[in-house]
Order: sequence, then structure tokens, then C-alpha cells
Amino acid sequence: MAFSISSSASDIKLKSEIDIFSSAYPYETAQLTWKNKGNALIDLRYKNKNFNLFGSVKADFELQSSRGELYLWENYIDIDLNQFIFKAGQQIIHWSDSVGLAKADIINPTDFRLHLNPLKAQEKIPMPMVSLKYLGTAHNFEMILIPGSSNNWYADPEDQIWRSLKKDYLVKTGTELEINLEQIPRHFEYVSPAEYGLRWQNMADGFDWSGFYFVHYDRVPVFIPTLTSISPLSVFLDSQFFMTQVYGLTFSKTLSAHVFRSDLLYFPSRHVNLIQTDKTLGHGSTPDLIFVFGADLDFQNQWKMGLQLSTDFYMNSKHVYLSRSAMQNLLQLRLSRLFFEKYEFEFIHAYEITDLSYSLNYRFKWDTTENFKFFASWDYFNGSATSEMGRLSHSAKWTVGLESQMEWLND
Amino acid sequence: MASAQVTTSNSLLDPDQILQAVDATRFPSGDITFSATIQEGSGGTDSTTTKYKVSSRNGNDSLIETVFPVKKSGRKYLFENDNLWFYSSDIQKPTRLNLQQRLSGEVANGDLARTKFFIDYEAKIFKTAMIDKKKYYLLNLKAKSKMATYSQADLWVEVKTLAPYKVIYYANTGKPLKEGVFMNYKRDGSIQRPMAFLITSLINKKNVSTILFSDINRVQFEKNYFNKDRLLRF
Repeated sequence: MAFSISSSASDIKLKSEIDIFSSAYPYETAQLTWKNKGNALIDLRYKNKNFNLFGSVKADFELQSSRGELYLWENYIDIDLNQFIFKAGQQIIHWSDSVGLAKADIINPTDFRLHLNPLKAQEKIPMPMVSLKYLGTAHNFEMILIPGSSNNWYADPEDQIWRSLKKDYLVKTGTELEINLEQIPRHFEYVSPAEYGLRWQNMADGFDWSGFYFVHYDRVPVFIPTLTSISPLSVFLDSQFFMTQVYGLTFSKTLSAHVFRSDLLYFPSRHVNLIQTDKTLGHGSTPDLIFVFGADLDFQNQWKMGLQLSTDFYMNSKHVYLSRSAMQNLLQLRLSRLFFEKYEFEFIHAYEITDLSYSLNYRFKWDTTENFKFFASWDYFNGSATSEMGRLSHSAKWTVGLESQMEWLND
Repeated sequence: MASAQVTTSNSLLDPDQILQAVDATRFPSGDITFSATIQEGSGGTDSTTTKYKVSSRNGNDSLIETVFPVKKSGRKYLFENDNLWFYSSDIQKPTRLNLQQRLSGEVANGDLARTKFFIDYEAKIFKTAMIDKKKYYLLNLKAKSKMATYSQADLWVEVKTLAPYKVIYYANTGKPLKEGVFMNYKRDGSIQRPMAFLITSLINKKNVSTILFSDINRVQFEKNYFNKDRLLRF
């Protein structure tokens, strides 16, 4: 259960969220488990014209939007046959060993409703699927079958998160027009052919290697513009999701006291939005190479330090892409420390090497009592309006909240 | 300096045998489960308690599950083939850690995950010493690999019983880090086992943690029990 207040310079969000987990063991052998997780969300957004973070706060709130949602999040059965584990139902599968930027976690869509920044959007959305895993002594093997498709979740069309995309559209096409977005669907859709993936994993001499192949509908939309009016000139952006395939490699290894991790992904052909030679918005395909290398460095003191370098390269360099450049290189520094076993401080600095933009994120957590945790965070983005981080500047905000976890056990 | 071999109770023991005897005193061999309660601080109002369930195969592969407090329950640590994996409901996937990272207070992950000195350290007898009218071997332990929790340690072992008395752990630089004292010996079958381990930081002696062991059970784990892909399921 979490309650939080977050604010940018112009509005305040009140968010209450309750996660409910349960596990049932219908048989005493515990070979069959039924797991589920529910989530209830109330999200209210108020506009306050007189709000000033560093000045006096005058109560002049106006309700801008409200959202109440109830999800059955994960809901699957898990059958453990010692060497084989079979799972069927709505579930989340991770294939990356990395934390922070975990690009190999591509099976499930990501929740981008509050951020378009992949550094911030961490929550994976469960999908109905079946998975069969073989557990060997040195090798694991996994097969998944998804009888349909689901895409990343994005904010509502009127949300300010889309401001940067619209601005990039106008700048790169050089047009004066009104842009309306379709509500990008958030539901699972049964489609044929089904999505499927295979993963092999090897553990030897402390190295953990994995290789995978995944055929799926891209979780990222391609926008298809339709002219809806000439005066005023306006377009409607419809979203489409194209089938793609990806080959991946991951590894992790502990060397001395330091932990190293890497993800490598290659999409032979990925459909993306691009600006055509006649300066209109279109779409085309490009090979996409994604590489992440990270290290958790331990200097035998109280501080934990992590470094991560990520490259995302749209290899067809002839294209001009919407809302991004062909090459993105991100360097991330993460520092954290626990003080007095109660106060946890974390600092994340992400630096986009390509265009010199950056983001700062400070987080503080305090274990107030046995069951409650207070948290506060501040996000800041800096760079030119068209830079990778600068275009997220409207996402700057602070958040304070209270989180609680309780457990009921039925013996 | 003592010789490489010593005579005790009419038998000839080398340092490795002494170390194996110490390991057998601490925990039974084979597959076991036990509970570990870590108390940080001196037991006053500011002290905190964390409880774990530990499953161990031959002191090598181990699974540590957090039982208390509730907000930390669901956190699991798997030590498998020199790899340490961590799972929590926050990140929902196994992530790799290093053994030196602290579990709680002065207790490192390896202090619970590794229950056999003999697997991680090579022993040499440094000298014998009298403490409270009892004679002890002082073993100098050197890590067999960089995966060991500590690079070196000094271990005091009672000559008569081969029971461990205390240990001092050192950093790579040779700087003393922590002192651990084996306490609260209780009978388990024919063996007296230390059911408490008091760890004091030698950098700041106010930092004290105690591990209380209980419910030691001999079990049988399946061949694939200690597999990181099973962490989501435990």
C-alpha cells in the first residue's frame, strides 16, 4: 500500500495505490502454486495556479483529472516438477541480469504512463502466456508462448508527456499543425500468429551467459498520421504495432568484489517513425543494435556505486527519426548508501553523451516503523528542447509518500 | 611459530583436519536448514532484529530467506557455485550481488551463506595460546579464491575439543575488520554446537551484531534445488 504526492511546477498529483499479493498452495506437496497480485489505484491530479515549491503554498486546487483502476496484475499457476517448471497465466518474465537499464527484459510491456524516460519506467506489465523451463545443473532452457500481444502503456493523449513528441514532429517537418493522438490501447489482444521465444542459459566458472530469440509485436508504437482537417491543418496519429524478431545475449560475472553485467540485443528489422524526404511523417524499417554494460563497484565501504553505459543504434543512418537521434549513448551513475540501517539515500545521474543533456534523480527512504516507509524523490532533466533529456524537462517533479507492507498468514 | 602438524588427544591432526573439525562443530554436514536471528546493537531500544531461514547443501550452496520483519520478507539470497543472487518483490528477478555486501548490521552475506571455513580458506597453524586456562590453536586462514567473504582471518580453536572460540577477519590490506566470538554452546546429539556468533566491528567497536542459530534440521534437497531460476518460486 502506498500513498504519494508528487508535483511539478504547475500541478500536484495525489496517488493512492494498493498492491495485494497472495499465494495459495492447493496441495501439500507444494508442487502446484497459484499466485496472484491485485492492484487498486486512485490517481487524482490537481492544478494549483498559486503553487510554488519553494515559496508559500496557497490552497487554490482545481481537479484536472481523476483515474480509478483495479487490476488483476499477476495471476498464474506454477507447477514444479523438479527439473521442469511450468507456468501458465498472466505473468512477468525477466531475461536480463541487469538492473536499471535492463534492455533484455523485452517479453513484457513497460508502464510508461508517468514517464517516457526508460530510466524511470521500471514496472513491467504481466501478459497471459505459458512458459516451460528446464533446470539443469549447468544449463537452463526456457520456452514461452504468448497467444497474443500487448504493448507498452502510455499516458492519455492529452497528457503533457506527449508535448516533446509533438514538438519534435513540428520542428522536423517544419509545419504548423494541430496534432491529436489516439488513445494507445492497454489491453491484451489475441492474435495469430502467436508470439514465442526461446532462451538458453549457461552457468560456468562464475559466468552466467544466456542467449535468446524472441518473435513478437513491437511493444513500441509506430504513429500513422491521418489528415483530419485542412483549416486549421490538423492530423490524427493512430498507433500500429509491427511484428519483429530479436536476438539477444546477456552475461553477468562477479570479479573480485565487483559485479559486471551486460545485455546485447539485435533487431534485424524494426519499424520506426521517420521523417520522409518530403518532410512528412512516415515509417520505415531499420536494424537496431542495443548494448548495455554495467558494473556494481564495491570499495568495501558503506557506499554502493553502479555505472551503466547504454547504446541504442538505429543502424540505417540515412533516416531522420521522430523524437530521437539514430545513435543514443547514455552513461548512468548510481550512488546509494544506507545510514543507521534506517535511512536510505540514492542518487542517479544519467548523462546523454550524444547531445550533452542530463538528468538527476535523488531518492530518500526512511523506515519509520516496522510496517511503514516514508519516501521522497526529486527528478530533474536538463538540455536543449530537442535533446534526449531536455525533451523530458516537463517531467521534472518531486514526490513524497508513505508506503506500507502488511502480511496475513493463515497457517 | 607452531609446526605444520600438532598432536592432540593422541591423534595427529593437520590444519585442514582441525578446520574440518571446526566446521563439523558449527553445523552438521550434508543438507541442512536452520534459523538465524540477527540482532543489531546491544539489545537496547535502538537495536533491531532480522530473522532468516537458511537452507544449505554441504555448506556450499545456500538459500537465505528473510522471514522478519514483514517489510523485508520475500527477500532471498541464493549462493550457488560461487555466485550470489538476490531476489526481492521490488525488482522481481534475481540480481547478482557480491558476497562481501552486508546482509544486516555487521553481518555479511557470506557469514550466513558460507557455513564451512574449509571450503573457502586454507589454514596454517600460527601458534598456540592460553586463554582463561584453556589452550587454543591460532589458525591463520587465507582465502582460496577471491570469492571468499574475507581475504584472510585468524581463528582460535580450543585444543581439547576442537571447538571454535573466536575469529578475526581482515581486509585485503591486512587491516582488521571484525571480530567474531562463538558463544552459547548447546548439545546437538553428541556434539556441542555454538548457537550464537557475536560480531564486533574493529573499525567502530560500537557496531555489534549477534547471530542466534536455532532449529537446525537435517534434510534432503533435490539436485536442482539451488538454481537461481527457482528463486521466483521459493
